[in-house]
Amino acid sequence: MTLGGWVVMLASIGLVTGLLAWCAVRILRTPEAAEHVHPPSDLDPHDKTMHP
Amino acid sequence: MSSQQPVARQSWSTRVGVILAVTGGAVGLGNFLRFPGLAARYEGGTFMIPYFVALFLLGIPLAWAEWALGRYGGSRGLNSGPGIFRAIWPWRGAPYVGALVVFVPASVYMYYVFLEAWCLVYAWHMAWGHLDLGGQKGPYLDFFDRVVGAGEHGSLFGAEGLGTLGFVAFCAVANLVLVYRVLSRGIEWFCRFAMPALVLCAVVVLVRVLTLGTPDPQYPDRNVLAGLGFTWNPRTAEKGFLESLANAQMWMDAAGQIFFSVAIGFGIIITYASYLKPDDDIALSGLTSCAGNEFCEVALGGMITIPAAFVFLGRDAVLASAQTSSFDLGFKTLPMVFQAMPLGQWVGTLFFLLLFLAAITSSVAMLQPCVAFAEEGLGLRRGPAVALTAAVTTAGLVFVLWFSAGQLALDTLDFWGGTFAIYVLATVQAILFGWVLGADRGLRELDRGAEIRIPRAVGFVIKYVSPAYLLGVFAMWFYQNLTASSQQNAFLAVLRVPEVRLSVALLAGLAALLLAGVWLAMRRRRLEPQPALPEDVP
Repeated sequence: MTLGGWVVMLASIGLVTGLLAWCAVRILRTPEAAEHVHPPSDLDPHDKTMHP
Repeated sequence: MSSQQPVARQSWSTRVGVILAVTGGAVGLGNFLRFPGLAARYEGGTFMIPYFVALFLLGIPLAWAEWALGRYGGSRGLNSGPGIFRAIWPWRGAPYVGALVVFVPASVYMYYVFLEAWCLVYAWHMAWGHLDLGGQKGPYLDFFDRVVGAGEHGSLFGAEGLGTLGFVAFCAVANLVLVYRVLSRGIEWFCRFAMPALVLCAVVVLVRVLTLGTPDPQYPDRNVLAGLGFTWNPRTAEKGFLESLANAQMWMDAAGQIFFSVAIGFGIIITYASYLKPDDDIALSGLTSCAGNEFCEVALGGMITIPAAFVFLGRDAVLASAQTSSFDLGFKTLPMVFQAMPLGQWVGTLFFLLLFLAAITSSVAMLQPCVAFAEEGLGLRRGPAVALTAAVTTAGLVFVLWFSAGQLALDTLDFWGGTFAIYVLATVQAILFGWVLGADRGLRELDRGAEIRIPRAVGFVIKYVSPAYLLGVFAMWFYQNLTASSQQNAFLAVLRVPEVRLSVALLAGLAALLLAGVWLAMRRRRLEPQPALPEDVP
């Protein structure tokens, strides 16, 4: 593993970990996160033909 | 004070649950299987440059754009891709372009369920100890070939298929039942509980991979450090850094991987976002989803599979495997890692089972855009809409299962449906957000209910940089293919290889069917947008 390899590895992992940590902190600091922040799996694709 | 503490604790745990749900919802096979395969194909380090460029110039901005486009269409009463495009773009041809939102998930679903079944097959055989095949790679490669029917076409339908067909049937039925019962909400528990388990499991496997040392003294050069070097060194043994970087196919594959794993240009986000409430956040949700996905992909997927494959298979075998398919590497390699660790049989069973669960949340989401169009465009109730979706996607799935030799059908669908069409849809959505809806209006839609303020430069990136980037890479890729030798030419492969030709014909048939559906929907005036409520207007 070359020096360049170490740099690419640490920078890549640091970047994605830092980004996730920043997002997590933002959600933890948001009191109404549960009501407003959603993953797609949290949404209800209701049956429009049954519930017009 | 005592009554406030439980409330505060509950609120805290709810927010942790939100983080797990948002990050977990995006994790799928792309992270642990497809990414390592692609990174290995281009020998890692160089690949990470177009990969991260694509993440920041395409992935995150276009994820935001897709969330905004979906909610904009949903606020005008339309939830299918053609309908959402009609709501944003007054041109009569817009719904036909919007058919891509249905085409992409349908074409990917046709092979994704097969991959999902591989996870289940491996979990099953791992649990029964059938994958304790010793320290040599040969038996593991043979096992994989039998599971996927790599030997000859139709072999999965015979006795030698290790029961893969039964597992595929189970997966297909489970997907249809889940989408019929609208259980996408019900499976959010998975994201909150099973997802951390998958990540924990991956961390355990990662520790084992990093402590493998040199497992076979006969090959002292196959050690973990060399494997990490293979994964991350920015120059390869044959090519210099700049020469590697000039490969347009790599830039296209890197963008395709970002789209695949973050589910941009997939039709999923835009469809689900159409069901959002007007004051829901889409800015932090979109970013967290991308971040969680990238963490699992780069920090776990990239660190486990490629170094392990290098150590057990050797560089040449890894490159040969990665050239033929992006998904193989994990299945060929990880059982050897599990075999070499304490309680490996059960860690492996759990890992593949959780991977299967991660995959099924993605595949159920892929069906929703198709069902939404059948309901909205064709006026079907949910049952017939799911039945129609099942008929079309099952026909494609059976095609992929039959033409299993060399995984030609799967790889062709993955390239033209899972990379090329995603690329086209992402480009169309960037133009739709930046030029049709308008970047300023789009940013106002993003700002509504947002928990973070998105930099204004994102509007510029989506309007100018993303489309220019996508079109530039596409033009380079087109030119390289026009001038490539017949063996490496994606266009000539369609003419030269019968299975590839048939696979492309299958996709063309699917496209024709969808266009006919849009024509019918337009004729029946089922895609007419309703005026938005005043509070919904950005």
